[in-house]
Amino acid sequence: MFSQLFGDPDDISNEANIFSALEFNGRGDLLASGDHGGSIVIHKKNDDIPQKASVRDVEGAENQWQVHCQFQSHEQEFDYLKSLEIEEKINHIQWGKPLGDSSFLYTTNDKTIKLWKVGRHMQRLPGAKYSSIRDGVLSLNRRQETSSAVSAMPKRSYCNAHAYHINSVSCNSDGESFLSADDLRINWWNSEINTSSFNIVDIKPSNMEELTEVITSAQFHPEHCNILMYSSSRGSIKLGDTRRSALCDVCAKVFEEPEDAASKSFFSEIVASISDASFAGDGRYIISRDYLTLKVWDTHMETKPVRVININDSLKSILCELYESDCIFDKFEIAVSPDGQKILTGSYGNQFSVWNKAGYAEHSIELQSSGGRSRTRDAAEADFDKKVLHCAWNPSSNTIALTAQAALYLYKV
Amino acid sequence: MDRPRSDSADLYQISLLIDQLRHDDPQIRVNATKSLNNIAEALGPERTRNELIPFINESIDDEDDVLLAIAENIGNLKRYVGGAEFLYTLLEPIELLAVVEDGSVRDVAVMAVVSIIEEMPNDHLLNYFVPFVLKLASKDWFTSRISATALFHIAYSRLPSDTQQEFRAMFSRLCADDTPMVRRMAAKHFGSLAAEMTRTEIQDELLGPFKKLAADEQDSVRIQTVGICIALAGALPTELQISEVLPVVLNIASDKSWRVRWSLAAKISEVGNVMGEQVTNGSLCECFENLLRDQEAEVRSAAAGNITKMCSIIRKDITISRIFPVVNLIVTDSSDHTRASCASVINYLAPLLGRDDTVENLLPMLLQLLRDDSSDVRLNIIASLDAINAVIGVELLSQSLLPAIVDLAEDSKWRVRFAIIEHIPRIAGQLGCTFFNEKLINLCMTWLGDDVYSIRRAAANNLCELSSQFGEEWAKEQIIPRIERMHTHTNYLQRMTALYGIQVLISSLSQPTVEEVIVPLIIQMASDAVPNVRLTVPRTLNDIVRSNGKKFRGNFLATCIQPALETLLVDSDRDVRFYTRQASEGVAAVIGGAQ
Repeated sequence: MFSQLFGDPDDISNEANIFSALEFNGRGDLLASGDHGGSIVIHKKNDDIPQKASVRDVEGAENQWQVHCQFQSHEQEFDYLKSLEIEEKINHIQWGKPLGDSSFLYTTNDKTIKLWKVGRHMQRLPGAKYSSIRDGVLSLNRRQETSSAVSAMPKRSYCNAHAYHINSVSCNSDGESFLSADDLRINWWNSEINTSSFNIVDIKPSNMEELTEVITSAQFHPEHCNILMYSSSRGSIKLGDTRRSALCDVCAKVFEEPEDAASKSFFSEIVASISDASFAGDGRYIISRDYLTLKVWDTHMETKPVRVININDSLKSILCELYESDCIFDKFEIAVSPDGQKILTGSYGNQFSVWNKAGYAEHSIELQSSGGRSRTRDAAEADFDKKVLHCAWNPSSNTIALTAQAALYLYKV
Repeated sequence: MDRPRSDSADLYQISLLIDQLRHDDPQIRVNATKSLNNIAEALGPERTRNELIPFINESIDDEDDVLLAIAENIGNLKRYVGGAEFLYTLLEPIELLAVVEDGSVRDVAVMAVVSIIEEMPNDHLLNYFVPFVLKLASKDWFTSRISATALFHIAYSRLPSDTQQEFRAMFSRLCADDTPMVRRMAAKHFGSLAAEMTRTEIQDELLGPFKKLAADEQDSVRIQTVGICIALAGALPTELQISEVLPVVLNIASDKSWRVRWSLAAKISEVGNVMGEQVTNGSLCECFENLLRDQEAEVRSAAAGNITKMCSIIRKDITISRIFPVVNLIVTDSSDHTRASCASVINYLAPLLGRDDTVENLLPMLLQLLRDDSSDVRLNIIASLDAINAVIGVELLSQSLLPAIVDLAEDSKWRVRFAIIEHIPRIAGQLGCTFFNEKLINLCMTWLGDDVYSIRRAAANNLCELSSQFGEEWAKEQIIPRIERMHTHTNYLQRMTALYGIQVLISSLSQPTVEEVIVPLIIQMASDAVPNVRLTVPRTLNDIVRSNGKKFRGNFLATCIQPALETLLVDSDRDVRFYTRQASEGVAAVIGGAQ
């Protein structure tokens, strides 16, 4: 059920407004979104509005979420050594452990990770006088009209640790460390120390000509502090155990479905690339998405996934055109419900779908600004410029957030 | 301390400082915070307590740099609050500092508490400090609970026993806190609290939390266990050490996380020191052997670094029969770091073993490490040769030593060459003059002609050290003729290095030699074809004259040096003329000063 819309879905003129990252915080009351222009917008759930008296607009949606804070996280930079521009596009956002009323989030672009603190801060009055001298006596004026406003303060900047583009950031369950992953390496940081990090995975071959796979996403296990998962472009998911050895190149578990020789085609390798993978619920299951399917893996069984859900079968016939238009390389994210039973992912034509772990589609909806459900069009006939790449599922309520170019939709499921 | 003056200029300064405390620019706020005690002094004790401290309390919503400055300077205010009975007023701003998210600010705030508590009277401790700690320990925010863990042991001994019991109970609760970071910090400060408690208290109340922490799910908590073991073992008698602490230590040694095993390997000698002979020679020794054979290279490196310390507390026969076979394996370990770590300490085993055992057991390993592929390993052996020299003399090694040194001297990485040059004077001293002349002196001269500037510089300094070690006659005989030959080298850089080499030699030579031999050599270069060389001449002369000018006899300066400078004053190159002018002025000043 449609809930709210931020931004204009038809406005694709300004590339800087196109969303590139989306994440709910642990408590479910804040939603952070990052865009191509390097800015972060944080929406807050307004619990002050009682359910019955909430303001409903014409379509009957509730305006429960409001813009809480907005700030510019990354700026465009230039790498002088390699003569390359470093884009300010936000690749990933992760919320850290909150402290009182303040929240912390890690944002990353291609090269630098930053830690921000979002909370109420005292606004300074420029030029205010706090002391005065009268008759040779010094007095302190403490009562000044100070207002406090919500703002974001940069706490730390973790830079120069990645030679390739950073694609994920993930916080460890110990509460004080996080990992950052780029195409070939994964580094483990302590949040307090921004001058050095441990490298725990390095899949760079000594001869770059032999490069066969890159890392597409990485995540720490939600409960075990020593387990990390990373997915690769060859369709395999690897679990590493940091307790076993200093370098986790040799993995504890590899989840890979051997390729079906019959259906092999020119595109099968590209299509097998995992665009997003995530632990579900308490970490027993891993859900991964590649271009055409969703796979549910049980961490206890490495040989094949528990379930393979074909979500975009109709695209198989037009893979050639999709390759020509580069759409075949689109990376769609997934989001898992807090109980681990439902999976949300987007598709072309501004459509998204919610699947049940048992393989059934529960919803399949085209995003529309005027809310309500609408019949979905066949994926092959959809508009390939309209894609729902990013999505997130609120961990404490049944709200989901999706992006379609420069628009952010909130739905209730 | 000066008495606070109340003239308006000073008051204005203070007023300015106060405004700066809330200025827009954080850097200005930081600087103003450093003068907090000036403000306090001017306001006087009562106003400091009633106005300044609340003012500071309101400033605590701020950037990390400013908070750090406040935390560093808040302790200084203890002299300005009007005596020990008012120290408790400082606890309020510190409480606000102790809950911020930045760990370094919290640490400094805790240290400020320590300095304040020292002077607080005991009844105030009960009325103010104890509630302060208990409040921090039960607060919602995990950062305040983290700060609390560091505070329990500070004034523990001064508190009455029922309060001590309350503290112990609260601490045990923090050891089982939900947040891993709190448990980790509780583990870190466990030892300091245990040190303040009596044996029965430890036995009854601390052993339980200790074992739970040692079995914690989070690696970051278990890593702290070794520190606790060392502290507890120090406080408990032997039977309890063996029954309570030793099992935990052995568990750490076989922990599934290599980081936890590493924490033991790094501190194993300290564990041995507190645990007593029987344990050290028995189960701890076995533990150590296993760590040396661990599958993770980092653990082996840490253990290898502790070989000497462990062997100094283990009985010699056990060392030779059980540790040495494993050390032999380390010498051929696959990881460079492990071998390098071993090489840096292995020489110091010699004094422990005595001459015969060294020759029989240690020497083969040393010779193998000297031939190692990795330059770090060879460097580490050579760096600690003194220990060997004292026990068996270096002659037995010299056959292998020489090829090793030559190899390192020609290594492609300049930092390796740099490192070996540093060691040459010491090796030369141990090997003796004749050996050095035969084998190593040409090496030292080749370094003077190295491609890398830092090497040439280091080589010249090296010659200086050698000549002060071996004496002037040796220098005149061996070094100076070789340097003279460099003067006619085709490469101008070599000639410049030769000049620099002469200059540093001066400090180890006698004055007549300087006048008769060195200065003429320098002046010879004044007619060089390359301007860079020519301009080094007046610079060198200037340096010499400025440092040694007064030692020159009579009119040496006027007859020998000045004429040479005069020719350079009309040189075609502008830089040469510039430096010559400087040198002339310097010489003239010394001559003038002498007269």
